[in-house]
Parts: sequence; structure tokens; C-alpha cells
Amino acid sequence: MSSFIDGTDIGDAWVKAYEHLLERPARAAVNLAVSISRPLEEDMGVRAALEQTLANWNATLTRRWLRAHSVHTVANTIFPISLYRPERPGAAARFFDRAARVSELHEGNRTEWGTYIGRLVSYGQSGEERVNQLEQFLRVLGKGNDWKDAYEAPLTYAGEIAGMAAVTGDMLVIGPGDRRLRGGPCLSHISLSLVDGALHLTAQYRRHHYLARAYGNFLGLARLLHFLAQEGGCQVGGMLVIGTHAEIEEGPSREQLHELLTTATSERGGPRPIELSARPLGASWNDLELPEPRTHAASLR
Amino acid sequence: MLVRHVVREALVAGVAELEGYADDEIGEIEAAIADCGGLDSYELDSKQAEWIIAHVEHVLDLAVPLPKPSDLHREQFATLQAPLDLIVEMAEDRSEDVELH
Repeated sequence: MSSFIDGTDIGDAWVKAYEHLLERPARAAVNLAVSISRPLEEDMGVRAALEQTLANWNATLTRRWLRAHSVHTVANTIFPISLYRPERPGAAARFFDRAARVSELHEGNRTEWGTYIGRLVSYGQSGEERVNQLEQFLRVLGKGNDWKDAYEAPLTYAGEIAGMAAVTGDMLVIGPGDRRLRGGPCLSHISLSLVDGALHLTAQYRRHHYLARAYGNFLGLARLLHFLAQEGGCQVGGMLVIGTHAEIEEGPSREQLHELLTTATSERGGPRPIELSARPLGASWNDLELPEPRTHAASLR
Repeated sequence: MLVRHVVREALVAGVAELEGYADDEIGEIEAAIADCGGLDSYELDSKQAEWIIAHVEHVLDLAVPLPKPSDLHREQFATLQAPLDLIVEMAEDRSEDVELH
């Protein structure tokens, strides 16, 4: 059975999808489609509640809980805003170069499969000719904005990663010639449509974790959509994120999961614009890390 | 043996190149560093730190690879001062390996 969540900003979409999953058997769903009509807005109250909870759980949960990162860190795997400075000349070309170089640092290690942005700006396995999928998008967009459905970006390779340890044991990917267990990547495909001058993005996750990943994924995809619209000379449209298998991860108790929903809902403060590019020279970045855990008993329940 | 001012110069040049500033605009980077209170107040995002550290490793042609931010604690790359101290410390600990070619 599939489900559809209709969200406005990123925070609103995350809360609604999380609440839906909480009510599902095993807190999981197949074909969960989350629409975000205004992807360049988020709710900082929701984000802060989620990050504080993740920080608390990092400090206290020991069984079946993989240490979570900040929303910004997760978003960086799709679009690292600190490498994009549009006010300087040649911003797109410089971003491609910097992103490809940084992504190379995460390749070649048995425990690392790379990054999503790496596969977008330098798609191809070792020994193959690399393709900059984002540059190709911009090239097509530059042809007069009359191509509606010519933008498809795969994030997986057929038969990749021999011998890589699976992050979770129940992911089996069956592609052409591929019969191996593996962990990441979970984002498998991005599709873009240009309709009436607005660029819309659809992303497909074969497995989507809603505690540690989904909010940051939404944010990273929104930043990517903005980049392509900005550099391609079109408007930002809507976003649809499909989790063919979406779930709330194991680790926290049922009570803790419901408390997160209560806190996130009560902390909602309304939409505000998301950050889209590098901060001014010398600006602080520390506020984008996970907060310190609150260690008194009441806040850790 | 690496000299601290050489590493500092390479780090600042790395920031300039990362941000799209030409060689003759490095003064703007130095001004930004001074404005925020010095190297230990000039903060880096992890992706900026990854690129800058890799850049320093390349331009100084170091004999051993520098660690990536993913191998480090946040405080070891959170400011420009942190990788400067780390690289110089590595040079002092492993002077036979970490040197300019």
C-alpha cells in the first residue's frame, strides 16, 4: 500500500511523514511519497527539536542505534552549500571542481561508497569515463528551457561494491548483473521536470530513514534544486521524495519516538528561508553542528 | 621540517582558491581572518576543511597523506588554526616523513 504526504515546507513535510510512519505497523511503509510544495522553506523549530533529540539519543542509546549527524551534515552529502559561492565569478564551475575533489576523498575505501554529490558531479566507477550529471542538466536547461523531461540522474551503479560490508543485512539490490548485499547509497535516482519555467525535482530512495536522514535529505535536495534553477535560469518548483521502503529506525523506545513528535509539533515556529550557499567569509558554522546533549533525566526520557 | 608560516600561507591560499579569489585578492581573505579575530576564530565547515586540507597536502607535496576531517574530531578542523596546528604537529612528530619535497 502506498501513502501520500502533502507538505508545505521541509519541516511540515517531515513532521507529517514522521507521524504517518509512527502509526504504521513496524513503523515502516512502502512507497511513501512526500510532496514539499515550498522546498526553499523550512521550520527551524522542528529542526531544532529533531537535532536536540538525536544528540540526546547519541549520548544515551547503545543498542541498535547508529550515531546520528546534524541535519546540515546530512544535507552536505547531497549539496554542500559551503562550496557554492554564487556572488563570485564562475560559481558553478568552481562548485563542480571543489565538490568532485572532496568526493574523491571518500572513494576507494572499502567502507565508503562515495557521496551523492560525488555521483552527481563525477558519475562513473573506477576506470570509467566520469560524467558530470549536473553540468549536463545545465547544458540542456541552457538550450532555451523548452525541454520538459530530459533530466534523469542515477545514483547507483550496476553490480557495484564487491565485498563491501552491508550496513544492514536485509538490503538486497537486484540490478543488471547485481546480486550482492550492500549498504549505501539509499538515494537511487533523481528526476527533474521543467514545466512552465519552473524546475521540479523527484527523488527516489530505496530505503529512507526518517530519524537520522530524511530531514537532512529534504534540505540537501532543496539546495540542489535551487542550484540548478539558479544556474539554469528558471524558477524553483516543487519536490517529491519517494521512499520505496521508508521507516523509523530501531533504537529509541515507543515512548521516546512519540515524545519527539510531541516536541517537534509544539516547537513549530513557521516557515523561514533555507540557506542556499556559503556564508560570508569569516562567518561561524558551528551552529550547524548537533547541539550538546541535555543530560538531565527529564529531557532524556 | 615544515615551517609554520609556510603551512599558514598554504592554508590561506587554499581558502582564497576555494572561495574563488585570485592570487592578488588574498588580502581580502587576510582581512576577513583579521576581522573575525584571527585564525582560531575563522571557522570552517567540514567540506571546506576537507578541500583546504587536501589542497595543502597537494601544494606542499607532502610525503605522507594528511588526515581527512572524517578521520578527525570536529575541533581538529573547526577553525583555520586547528589544521595549522595539526599539520605542524605531524611534522614535528614525524619529521622524517612530513616534509616539503
